[in-house]
Amino acid sequence: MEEKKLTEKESLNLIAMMINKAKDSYHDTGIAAIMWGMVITICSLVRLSEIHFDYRLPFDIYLITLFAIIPQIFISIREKKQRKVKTYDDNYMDYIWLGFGISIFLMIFIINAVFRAWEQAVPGDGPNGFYEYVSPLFLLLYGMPTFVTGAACRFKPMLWGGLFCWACCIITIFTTIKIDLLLVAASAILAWLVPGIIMERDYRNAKKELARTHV
Amino acid sequence: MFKDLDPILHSQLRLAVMSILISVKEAEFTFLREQTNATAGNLSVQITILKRYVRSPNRE
Repeated sequence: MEEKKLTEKESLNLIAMMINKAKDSYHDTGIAAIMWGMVITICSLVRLSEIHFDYRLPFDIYLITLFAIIPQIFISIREKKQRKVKTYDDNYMDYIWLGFGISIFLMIFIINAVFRAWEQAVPGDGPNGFYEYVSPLFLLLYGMPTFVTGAACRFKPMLWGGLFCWACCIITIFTTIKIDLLLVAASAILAWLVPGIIMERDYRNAKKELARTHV
Repeated sequence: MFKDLDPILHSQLRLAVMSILISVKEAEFTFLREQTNATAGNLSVQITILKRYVRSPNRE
């Protein structure tokens, strides 16, 4: 950048250009969104197949969400280290997703407690009768951070993904458990997997562009 | 209504650096260099001049 005396208009143009450059400079790698999109989709579809084909895996498939936390921690640390710039929104986003994680685990805890009471109240009904009503609660939670992130980052695929979760939340109240699980899988794909793939593509393009302009 | 702009900010590079920094919480030196296309030496000098506005961990 050469040094010269700027006119008022040139100064304003420069300020606007630099602010926009800073805003557009950060691209999420999308890896975490892709991973969680896949994990929730796999869990829902495996549970659906267990119900449809009447078999049980020797472990609860949803346990893989616990194991997914480990790579998530590594992804978060690595992404933080790689970032050359920190925006004011970053902290809020971190807290929103942390709050979401805590809410999910509290929800699982509450649902298990309610399920034990349900088993005593309605003996012999089996877990499927109870789990008919669980999916809307999770979809309600899935929608919140996804919608907020999409709106705050002006990233429409995630914004629509969040809205889709809420739409499915209403639908699943009236559908059978099999349809519920299909809609949860569809929500995970639209809210996280697809936006994650778009983010990852944008990240790679931005990296290529940066390498091209700074050879 | 407003005070005149600090003459320090009349430089193109310093104004560019300040414009980036007002829109983010913190930025690495390499990021500022990439965005402004300035040389490391020149940018370092300009950031030193901006010490009234910029907090640099290297200089604390």
